[in-house]
Amino acid sequence: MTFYNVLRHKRKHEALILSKTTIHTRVEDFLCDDDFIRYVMDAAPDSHSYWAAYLTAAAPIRKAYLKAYDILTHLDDCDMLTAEEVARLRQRIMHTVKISIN
Amino acid sequence: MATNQLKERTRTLVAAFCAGDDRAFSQLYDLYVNILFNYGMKLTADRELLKDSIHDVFMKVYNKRADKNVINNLGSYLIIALKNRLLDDFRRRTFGAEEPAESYDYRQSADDVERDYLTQEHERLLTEEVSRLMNNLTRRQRQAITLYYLEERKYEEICQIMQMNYHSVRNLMHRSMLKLREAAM
Repeated sequence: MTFYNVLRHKRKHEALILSKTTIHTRVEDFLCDDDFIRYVMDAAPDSHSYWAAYLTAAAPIRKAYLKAYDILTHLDDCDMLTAEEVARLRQRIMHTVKISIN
Repeated sequence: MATNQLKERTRTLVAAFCAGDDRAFSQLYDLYVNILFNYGMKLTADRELLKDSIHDVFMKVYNKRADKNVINNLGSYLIIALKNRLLDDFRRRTFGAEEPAESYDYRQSADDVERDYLTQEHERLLTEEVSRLMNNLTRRQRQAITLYYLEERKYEEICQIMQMNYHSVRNLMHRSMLKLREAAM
């Protein structure tokens, strides 16, 4: 069981990110961390103290953390689909799964 | 919608969806489509790619409605699936490969002896180097790296296996990666 295999592993990209920095400093770092996503979206209690510690980090890191949090909870200045796009995409999905909604 | 309300609404709709109510599936789409779109726009500027990806992610959810891991954590599942879908596409565009990097088969054809030998030799040297790097780690650090990267365990599972709290496991991973980096320099 070698580290080379580790790098070839499914989580290769994560390993590369981790090898650069495990302390997230950029919004993208948080947004691409599955564990952070689970923490925000599922409110995973086990990891609360770990992620909440970012609130006491230096200002730029704290800002990145809060921004990522807001993006996931949809509170930042949102990019949104138009109502027409939402409707079209829904139709496409429903068509694919072959179900009809009254 | 506040986060708690979102979770509550998700739970209700998921229950209906699992009971066979396809209208609930459509309502879940309404609930999450712009959250996914907003998230996706931070990773790509390609609006059409993003719409295609959201389509695929909802298809996946529809087909996996019996999977408790998907259904019980729908919010995070949707986001992570979208992220992975966008990363796969990014890899395809960047490296020109048709299949995801994870499933790429490194094996060479049987008759290409020379290339086969070179590949094996290359792998052997890398394996030696990696063994050397891993030997710099303590037993606990090796165990954490192995559980996370090879066995694909979630941090919560690693906490249970290693009898450590979440914070300590993350710190252990962090220290392990730093040590590997130092040793590799």
